[in-house]
Amino acid sequence: MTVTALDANANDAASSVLEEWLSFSLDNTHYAIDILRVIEIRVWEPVTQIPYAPRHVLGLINLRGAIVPIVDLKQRMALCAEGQQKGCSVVLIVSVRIGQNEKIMGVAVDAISDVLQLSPEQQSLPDFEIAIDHEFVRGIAEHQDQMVVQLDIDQVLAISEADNQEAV
Amino acid sequence: MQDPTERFRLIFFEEASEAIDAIEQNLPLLQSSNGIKDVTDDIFRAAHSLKGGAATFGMSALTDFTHLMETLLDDVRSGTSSISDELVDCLFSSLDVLRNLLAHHQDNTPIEETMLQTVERELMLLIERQNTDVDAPEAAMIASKNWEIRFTPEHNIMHSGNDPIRYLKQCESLGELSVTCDDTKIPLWEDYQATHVYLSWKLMLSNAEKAIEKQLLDDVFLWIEDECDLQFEALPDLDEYATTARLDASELVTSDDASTTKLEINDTTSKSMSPKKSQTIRVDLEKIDSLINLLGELVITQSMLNVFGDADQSHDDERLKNGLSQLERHTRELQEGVMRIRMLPISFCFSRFPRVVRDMSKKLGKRVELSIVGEHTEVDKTVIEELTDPLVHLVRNSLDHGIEAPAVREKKGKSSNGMITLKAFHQVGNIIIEITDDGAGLNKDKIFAKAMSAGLIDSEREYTEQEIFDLIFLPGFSTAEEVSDISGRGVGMDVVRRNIRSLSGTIDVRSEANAGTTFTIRLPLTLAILDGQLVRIGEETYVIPLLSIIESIQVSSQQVNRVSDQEVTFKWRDEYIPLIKLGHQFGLQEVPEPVSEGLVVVVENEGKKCGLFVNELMTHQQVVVKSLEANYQQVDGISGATILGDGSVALILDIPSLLSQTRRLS
Repeated sequence: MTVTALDANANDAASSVLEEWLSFSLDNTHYAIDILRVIEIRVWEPVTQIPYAPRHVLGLINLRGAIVPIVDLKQRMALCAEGQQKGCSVVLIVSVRIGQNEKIMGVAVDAISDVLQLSPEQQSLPDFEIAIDHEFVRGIAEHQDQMVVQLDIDQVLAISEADNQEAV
Repeated sequence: MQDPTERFRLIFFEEASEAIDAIEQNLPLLQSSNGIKDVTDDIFRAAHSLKGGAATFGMSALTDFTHLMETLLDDVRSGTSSISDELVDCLFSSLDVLRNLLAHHQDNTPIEETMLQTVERELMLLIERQNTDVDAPEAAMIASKNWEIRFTPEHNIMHSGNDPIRYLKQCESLGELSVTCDDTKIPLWEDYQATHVYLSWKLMLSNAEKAIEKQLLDDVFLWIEDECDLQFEALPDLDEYATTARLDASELVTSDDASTTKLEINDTTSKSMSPKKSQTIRVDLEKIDSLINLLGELVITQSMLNVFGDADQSHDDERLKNGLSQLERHTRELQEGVMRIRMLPISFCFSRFPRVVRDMSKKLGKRVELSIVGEHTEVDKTVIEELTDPLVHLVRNSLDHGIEAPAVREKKGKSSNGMITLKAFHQVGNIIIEITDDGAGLNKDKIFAKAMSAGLIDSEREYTEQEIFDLIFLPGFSTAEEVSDISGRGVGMDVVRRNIRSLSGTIDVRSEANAGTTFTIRLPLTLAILDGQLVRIGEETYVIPLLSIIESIQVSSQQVNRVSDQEVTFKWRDEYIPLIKLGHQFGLQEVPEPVSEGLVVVVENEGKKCGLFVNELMTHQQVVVKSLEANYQQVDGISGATILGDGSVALILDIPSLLSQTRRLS
């Protein structure tokens, strides 16, 4: 690439649109979600179980008067066997768009790692098999020589009717 | 901030649609009462204020049209015209035109020109006919060169922003004016109110060149004719008024101000007695909703304090407990008060039905009377809004399918006039609405055949009559043989039932051949707060609505019959009712097998009962219902969630849905 003044400008513009992603770990793998979607980070607290809920929906908590469901990310992405939910210590409260509605949900993860600054060009789609469903993945980025899976949180938390059927 | 006139426009539109509703409500009465003065006056007043407002905002089409209506109504009011069927019909269609015109000015909906013109022509025709019929002297045509006008404004005319002096000045533009001011009505200083007008005027108006039409004078005082007493007298030609003190209109202002200093001298006893009005204010619904939300938080905090108060046994402070119980009482009263703000009489919804019935019975060639009972019953505003469509549908159904044609009715020995009754009343925390007709009743065989062809029938089963009637609520069921524009537009009873259910209500049908059909709708009064019994099932706390609990009892293992692993029943007051193990049914993790000897809460809904195994009965308290759908989704058997005093989430059991599940199992 020949560096012209124009290109330099373009690079500046690109760096100014750096996206910030919040990375966290699940079973020693790093994942990240768009930080603009994260409302707050809470420690794990007991939840109220929901009847007929899919297994990955752990239950409900009270978030300052709002009733918010908590999703076990590991189970949601089928990373562990059923019923195994140890180690979750942190809950990310995120806002997700499901259909026309904006909902507030919590995701339980092992630990929060870092805030990453990633430019959109840095991310690539994986062309190899990874442990989780491709539709959950926005891209793969690299940070300090470690792979970070960028998640599409809307897809991950889309709790469809089909999931319910499966649970019943 | 929006343009201030825009705000007034909005208020005008709101008031205008209220005025139209008011006219619509009164019109059917007009005919039945054959011109009771109050009714015609009410209608006239509504039309008049509509015209005034429309003129203020420069909506000329609306002004012209209301003027026509007003003229006709004025004839009715003065008794010069009789109230014919035709007239009422014409007024009804005028209302449609008015709505259309209003919509045009509000959101630029196109004007339905043809409708406007036909109705306008009808109105004119009627007005013309009245005038030729009775040959009433057209008051507005009177003209004279000299007028004596007595102008006595009401005391509080200034409050509506009208300055009487302005009208005097306006009269001046019509000719030569001389004014006498009467200040004898000014009260004693202690009774004097600075913002009231105590003066009245005698105006002598003359115009040497041409006669002044009365219409012109009427126009001057048009805006304030409700707020003052006016007397017009045409005088014969006179060149001089010897005794009248000549006052320029501008001088009058000073006389008005000066009058305050003359108070001690004037010793008149007239006291202002302002008539008592029911006072209302318009409040944005959002403000009320935020108040209700806040109140919800208060209820939660209050129950949290109760938890602490109970836990704090060591202190045993009597005063704390007293304070807490007082707080609870006040919270409850506050809650009732705030809820009442949202309550409206159901007449807001019922009032449209006289017209619906009138229009439809005409179209169908049936004679139907509508009787409305309990229209003052109060319901939550949102409930009223959601209820209107299902009710319209039910009433249309009754008219179309229920009530027979007059000839058929006579053959059956019934009165040729059909009867539809709308009835609303309260019953233990619910509002009940009944729609009853005295028509043919549901046709059992036809429904069964129809359901059969729609594949809704389980051929293995025997159906009771009631079960067959209930089939009409199933999706995909509609008996209308041909799609009319009245009912059977593909919107079936299932939609009605869904709407009612979304208000957490129920709908039932009872019917008797040739005696009629009754639909009963049962709705909770309010959707926001309920009295609940807290129970512990396994590790979880649930809330059971107190209203559905009959009793809580200790059951010994001998009383429980295990039919199979799933189905358990027990004998309760001589009947066998199913027992539900909720933890098991909900598929929760780590539910301890409920002991067969334990507490059972017997719940009931619409005569169906079942028992719920619980591990512990906790307190009962008011809970604020929060929706699960906001961030999650609807859950079978759960009507919502609430937040307990300790900040944890508890689910509220949906007893009707649980009961319908047990029926499905058995």
